[in-house]
Amino acid sequence: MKKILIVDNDKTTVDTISKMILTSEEYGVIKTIGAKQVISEIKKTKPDLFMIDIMMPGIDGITLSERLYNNKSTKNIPILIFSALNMEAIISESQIRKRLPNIKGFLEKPFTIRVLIKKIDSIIK
Amino acid sequence: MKIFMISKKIGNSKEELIEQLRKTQVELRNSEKLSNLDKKRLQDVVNNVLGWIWEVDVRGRYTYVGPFVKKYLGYKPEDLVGKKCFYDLFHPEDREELKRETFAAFKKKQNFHEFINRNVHKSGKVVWFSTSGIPIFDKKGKFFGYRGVDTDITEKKESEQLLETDKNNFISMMIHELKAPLMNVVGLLDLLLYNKLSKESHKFSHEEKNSIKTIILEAYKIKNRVDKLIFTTKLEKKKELFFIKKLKISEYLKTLEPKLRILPVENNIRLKINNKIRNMSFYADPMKLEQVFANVIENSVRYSKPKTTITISVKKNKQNIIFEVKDQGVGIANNNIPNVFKKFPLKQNLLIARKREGLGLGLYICKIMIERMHGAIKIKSKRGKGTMVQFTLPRKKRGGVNVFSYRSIEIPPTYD
Repeated sequence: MKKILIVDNDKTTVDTISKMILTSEEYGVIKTIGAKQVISEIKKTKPDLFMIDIMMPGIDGITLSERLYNNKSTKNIPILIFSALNMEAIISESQIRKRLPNIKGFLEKPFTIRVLIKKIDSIIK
Repeated sequence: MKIFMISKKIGNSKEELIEQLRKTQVELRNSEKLSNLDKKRLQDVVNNVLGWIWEVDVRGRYTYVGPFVKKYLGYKPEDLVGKKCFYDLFHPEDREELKRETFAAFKKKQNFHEFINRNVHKSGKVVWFSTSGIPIFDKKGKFFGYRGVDTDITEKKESEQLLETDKNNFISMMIHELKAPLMNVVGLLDLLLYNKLSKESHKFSHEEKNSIKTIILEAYKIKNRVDKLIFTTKLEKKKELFFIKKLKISEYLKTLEPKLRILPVENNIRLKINNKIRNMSFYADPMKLEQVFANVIENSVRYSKPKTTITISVKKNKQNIIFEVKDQGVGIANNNIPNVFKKFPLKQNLLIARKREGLGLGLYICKIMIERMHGAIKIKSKRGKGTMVQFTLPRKKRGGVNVFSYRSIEIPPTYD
């Protein structure tokens, strides 16, 4: 079963999204709160997909994606970014993909189960 | 004695200061009569002004530049006099606009004060000046040029910009805080709807399911309204970028139609598209135009009677493509028509605002967007009959590809 690592600074959001993913019964989840926890988690396990929130205190989602890209062991693991800010407001998707090719998709919060599963399927199925 | 008075006057208003400086300049140049001590005093006064003195001719070429220019711009007077015009020093991004403004002021031959302008130091760094000037005339009374002083306000300007960045960062934080909980609202309701929150199976009635769906849609309304507020602020501050492209009408409508079809589902309202022009192009930002259509149609739906039709038609004239969105709704009273493009037009009549939901920003932002794309928007309406919103977009390219030219694209650290 493919594993998805979820990171957000809000525990409720991490719980909600992991429950949403588990409805598909095709994916397992690793729940982390904040970027630091991700960095210690990846020493133990390698997920098949990262789901990363952008606005996190300390290390934000883009910086975290950058670090994962610059780390040999995580360089090729795809990332699905999600945020309450819309993507257009941040940077154009094509621009960010050029800079960080490990980012494979973006979801604007809030999203429904159907949209989420479809997006995940399109990246790692 | 007189010189003593000048130095005392430094603390006074800017206009007085300029007047004093003007006299000082004249006196400095005709200073044969003055003693060395007097000259020294005058020089001290000029030195102590946070700026430099200049004179330009009618075309803007420097005819005199005070020695302190070096302190502010890195150039020596001889680098500028007879060689450069004042607008050569402006920041290239602002040059054309500021040049236009200054020469418009020159035409009036009046004093001007605190004209804020961005310049480039010889080293390349940005310097902000507040410029004040007075017209000069020769003995026969013929307009000769301008004389004035540029005061350095770079420090003030930079701290203002820092404050603005802080404010923007704060706003993006607030937006995030407002929107983030909606993820949990929508996610958990969706889980409830799919019956996935507990292991025990639980059947919801049709009514219950519909209520959950409604709550999800309401949560999305909150999200959309927060987005609209942010978008409006960005448009007003000219921070929203426009990417104007050549668009083929029939192709554009083909991509637009399915997106608009999902809008008018309430009250059995139908949407009809009438396009008699096939092979013609126009210039617009496709995403922004989509937002214009969505806003106009959202309004039409809101004010439409059940089971009526909203018609989009496309026409043309020599210069423009004309889009018309017509509804069979309640219409707008004549005296309210001039207000519809204003921000929050319904605030004068809170009763109406209560009856019909919405922020009162839709047409206001449509007008800004259409005008930024070199078009025009107007509205015709008859009480009880319906409303027609008409907007035009140019068939020929106007201005640059990117209408927005004042600031370069910036990506602040908080990704707003």
